[in-house]
Amino acid sequence: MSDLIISAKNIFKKYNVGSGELEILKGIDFSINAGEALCIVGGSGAGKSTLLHILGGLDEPTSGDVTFKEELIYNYTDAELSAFRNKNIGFVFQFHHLLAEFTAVENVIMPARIAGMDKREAHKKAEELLEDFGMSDRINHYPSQMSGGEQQRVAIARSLIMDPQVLMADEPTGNLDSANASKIHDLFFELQEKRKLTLIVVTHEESFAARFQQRKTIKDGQWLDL
Amino acid sequence: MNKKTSIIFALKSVGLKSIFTKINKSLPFWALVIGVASLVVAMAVVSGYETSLRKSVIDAVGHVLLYKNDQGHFKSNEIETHISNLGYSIKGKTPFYVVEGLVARKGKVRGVVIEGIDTESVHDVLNIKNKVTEGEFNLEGLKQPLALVGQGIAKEFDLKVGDRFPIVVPQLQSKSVQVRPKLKMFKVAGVTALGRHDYDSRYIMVNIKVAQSFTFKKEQITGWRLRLESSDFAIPMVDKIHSQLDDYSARSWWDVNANLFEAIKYEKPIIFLVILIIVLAAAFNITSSLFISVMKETKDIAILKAMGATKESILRIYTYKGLFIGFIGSLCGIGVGLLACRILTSVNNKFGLLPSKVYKITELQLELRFFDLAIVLLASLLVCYMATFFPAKKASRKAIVEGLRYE
Repeated sequence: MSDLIISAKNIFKKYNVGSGELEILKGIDFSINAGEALCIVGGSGAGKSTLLHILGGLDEPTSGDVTFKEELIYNYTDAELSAFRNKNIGFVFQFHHLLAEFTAVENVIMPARIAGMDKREAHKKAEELLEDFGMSDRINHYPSQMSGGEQQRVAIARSLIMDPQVLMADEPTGNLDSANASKIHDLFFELQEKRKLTLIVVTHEESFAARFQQRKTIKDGQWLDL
Repeated sequence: MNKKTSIIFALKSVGLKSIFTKINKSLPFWALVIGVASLVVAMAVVSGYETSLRKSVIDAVGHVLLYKNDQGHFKSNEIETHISNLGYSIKGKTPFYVVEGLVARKGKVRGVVIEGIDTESVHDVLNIKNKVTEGEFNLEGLKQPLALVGQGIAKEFDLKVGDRFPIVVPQLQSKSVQVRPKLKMFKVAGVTALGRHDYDSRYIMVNIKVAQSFTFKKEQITGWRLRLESSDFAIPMVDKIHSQLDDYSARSWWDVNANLFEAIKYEKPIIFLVILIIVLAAAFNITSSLFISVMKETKDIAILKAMGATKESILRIYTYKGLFIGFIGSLCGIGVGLLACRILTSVNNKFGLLPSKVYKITELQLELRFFDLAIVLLASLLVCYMATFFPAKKASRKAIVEGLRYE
């Protein structure tokens, strides 16, 4: 389990703000092996979410390279990059970002439907995932009919339906009370263990970060430990 | 994301479950409905008017009016020898003789057209029998001549079935310049409503022998009226007569009201384009509501892209969304248009909205042609498609992080 799965070299990210530029990331290098769990911590505005988005193929860096299994992902076309995200990366966000017009199971099957998976097969898989997460009685509920913890479980189930190799989470429990947050933390480690997932989590919660063997701190767009 | 999933997503995000509640509150939707309904009504009115006019002209004049240029005797067998071999099947023919005269009664005088018809063969060509609204179609009496008078004349001169009235025809004496009026008394056999204001206010039909007796040439006729297999053959047949036969001239049912038919031909697409502006205005509303929807759904667009949806599939979702509103709006518009046509027909039948003096026909008929409805639907969908293009493009180009960063 020491194969390099994601690496990033000399990542810079700048945003145009009014007439000037705001530099968020200043030459970040990053690497993680398959099956490892890593936590990125840092203060607000340090650039941790931006880095996670860049690593996951959601936001192109201003300069620098990101590779997934030695392939430069930002050389992909839109369709290839979309397929890459669909098949290889599962995302969980602070605000669950469930689609309000769709039920729990419909939200979970969405990535599979995007990939063109058979509806029945996707449905079966989604139901199994929701059952695993103790959500079998919420399958046909809409997001508005669920609690924050339940919504986040649905979001995690959705991130796993394509059996991704990497799970990326951006403040996954930042919006939950401590009891629910703790349950979700346990769930992440269970999943990482059970599915041999590569787990990259961005958090500012010390208790959650403390459970990771690998931790990196980012400050003003640079690693603090460098 | 395949097309089916895009459609499902588009429908869901429009909110299929509460679609009618949402649609009821949607201003762009109702603007589109009104626009499409207006188009349907306008097309039905113009098509109906064209058909009514065409039918009333054909019922009263036949498909082709055939004349002999030298004014000589024009016998039936000439049609068989010269006209029949032009390549058009003649289903019926009837001679007619027209003289102009005056009706004078109760202190009123009016110029009229007296048309002598052959009481037997006229039914093979014209549709007059069931246009007799009072009395009956009977022009057989020669000693006591009978006449069918247009309802306009009957009203003006207060003529009822059985009433007697005089017709005066000025006659130029042969070998002299003197004009001697010839007067005959007629009895009203029936009142006709030919569906055309100009005919009903000027035409009196009598037996052809009676009409001929007004002149010195007893066997003379004005020409023949012909019925062909289809009214569509009339114009090419007339063209052929003019180009191939020097001794004859002809007029088709189109020529009888050429200006009006020509005007309708150009009016229809112009009316269509003018009313399409209402649909365009509605489409602008759809564009702005889709732009708002794209702004509101930035988060959903971002999450779909994060899950692997391509720019193309996002473009498709918003295009389907706009087209869905467009399609339902157009269908409802057609429905409302059909309903409006029914209401308009009954209101017109009751109150007579159509001034017959202006429009030549006495009854407004609305005709809904499948082709017209298809064109309305297609035009409306095309406009809606164009309306969705820019919002859909904007949605597809949205940066993922834009939607993920803030709640």
